[in-house]
Amino acid sequence: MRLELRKLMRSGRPLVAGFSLVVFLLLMLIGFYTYAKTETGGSAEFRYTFENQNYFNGLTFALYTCYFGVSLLLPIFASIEGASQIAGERASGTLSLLLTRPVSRSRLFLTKAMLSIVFLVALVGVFMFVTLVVGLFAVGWGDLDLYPGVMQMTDRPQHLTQGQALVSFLLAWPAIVIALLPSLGLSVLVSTWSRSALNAMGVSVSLYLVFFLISQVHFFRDLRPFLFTSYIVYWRALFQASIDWAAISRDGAKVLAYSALFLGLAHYRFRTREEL
Amino acid sequence: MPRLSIPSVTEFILFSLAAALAIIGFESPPDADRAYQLPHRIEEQLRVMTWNVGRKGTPQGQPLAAADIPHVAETIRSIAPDLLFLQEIEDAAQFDQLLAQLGDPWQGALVSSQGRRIAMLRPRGDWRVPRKWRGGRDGSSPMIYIKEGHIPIAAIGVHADAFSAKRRNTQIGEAVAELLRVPNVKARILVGDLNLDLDLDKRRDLFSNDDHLDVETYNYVCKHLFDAGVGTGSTADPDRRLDYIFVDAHLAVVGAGPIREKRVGDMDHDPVVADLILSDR
Repeated sequence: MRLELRKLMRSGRPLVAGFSLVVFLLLMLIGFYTYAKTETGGSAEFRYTFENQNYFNGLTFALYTCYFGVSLLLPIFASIEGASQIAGERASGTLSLLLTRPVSRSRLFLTKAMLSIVFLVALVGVFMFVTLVVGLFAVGWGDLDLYPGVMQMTDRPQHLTQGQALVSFLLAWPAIVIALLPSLGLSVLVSTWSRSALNAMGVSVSLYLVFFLISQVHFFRDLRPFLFTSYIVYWRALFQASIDWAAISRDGAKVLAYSALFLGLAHYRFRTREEL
Repeated sequence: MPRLSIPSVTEFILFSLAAALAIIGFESPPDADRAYQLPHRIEEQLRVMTWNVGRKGTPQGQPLAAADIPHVAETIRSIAPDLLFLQEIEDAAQFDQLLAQLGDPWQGALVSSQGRRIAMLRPRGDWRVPRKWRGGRDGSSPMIYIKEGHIPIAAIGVHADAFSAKRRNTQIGEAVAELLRVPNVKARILVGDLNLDLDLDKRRDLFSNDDHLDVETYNYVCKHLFDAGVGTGSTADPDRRLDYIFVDAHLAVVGAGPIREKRVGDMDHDPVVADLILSDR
């Protein structure tokens, strides 16, 4: 585990992920601020609307940022992390060396998987924390109002007090990590088949984007329930005045099922592949 | 017996976990897939229904086919609403044919709104259409006043523009404003094909030229009225929720949703029904 951790830190992947998320955060802040100004007092043309000044606060900003970050950005980082685990070692020639050590393939695989999950926990945690802090100092907190259609977070209006909203963010942290596990698992599976980390990353990210797009299109109604990307934002149900734990548990179970399946297949492939 | 090696056990655990979690997760279908089951009627209940009876086939859609009138009449009789709004009735002659098929005591009015025709029907005579909507007052949505057990209720029917979010916003916003201005009524209802879909999981920009404005429109309505059919699934092809029944705080929703398997021919909308009770709020 220590060796894997040192390799992770030296790889630069945490730095790349952190830098990308900071850029994303800054752009979201600029966009949020300019949008809020336009919608609440700028030169918007008259229309029937619901948005007012109180709606735009730091918690809304944090939720916007988390939603878009989790839908597209974080799964890509999860895919990159998973794809580099096996294929990266193989491409650098260190895999054969690792396999000569008195450590079973299974233990090696599980160590890498666990470390990737720990990386995701840290990445998501830091991302959410920084987002909330930026929201606090740049915009200011307050109660959280959610409206149908906005960010596709809810199908009916929700009002959460600041305290409730912060609890929801805390609960969302592990839920988001779970939502990212299928991307990680799929990319690890791809990684066990690939000889190049870049190829593995490319294939993993492409697969994620294809599934993600298909799950968003009306015409694939019958296919959508079977794509893990359809459940990537199941955690949004935590941002309700009255949380439906049964629904969250069901969707969380689906996400974990995909994760276990991908990791099981990846483990089998890694255990049985012949290294030259 | 051969000793199981750790890797095999690991895979067995992972696959078993996947199977168990899949069973838990996929055990029951989401509520949105379940069709609304009409409850047993009670006396105080008000059943409201909206149905776009038009057909697909051209980009602008087509009105109700003459051959489908008997089916529409039969569906209406089977659902037995107390107040009904129909969109895409072709003309007065077709409306008269439908009334004839429904028979006594059905009555109603056909009003032209923004170039479209909306029929308002009720199985008894305690209703009236305000003078300004009689004979067609193009540019606004038709309103009807009904009396439900001596309780006056105003209901407005909307068939919003299918192509312009801006026009939808104006039409729907004005309908809400009009409805809220009505004096001396106990409850208010907004009904119709709003042509906007705020789906939680699918891209909305595929069918709208300004989906954010549609979001604003919907939420503007929700500021004043409650969406009776929220979470009940799609009402039109392809897998979109376009047909709504909104009620104010004086009406409690017993149940609502689309009634499946009532379409015929090239129809692309389901009838949507809401069962309401006047509350003391």
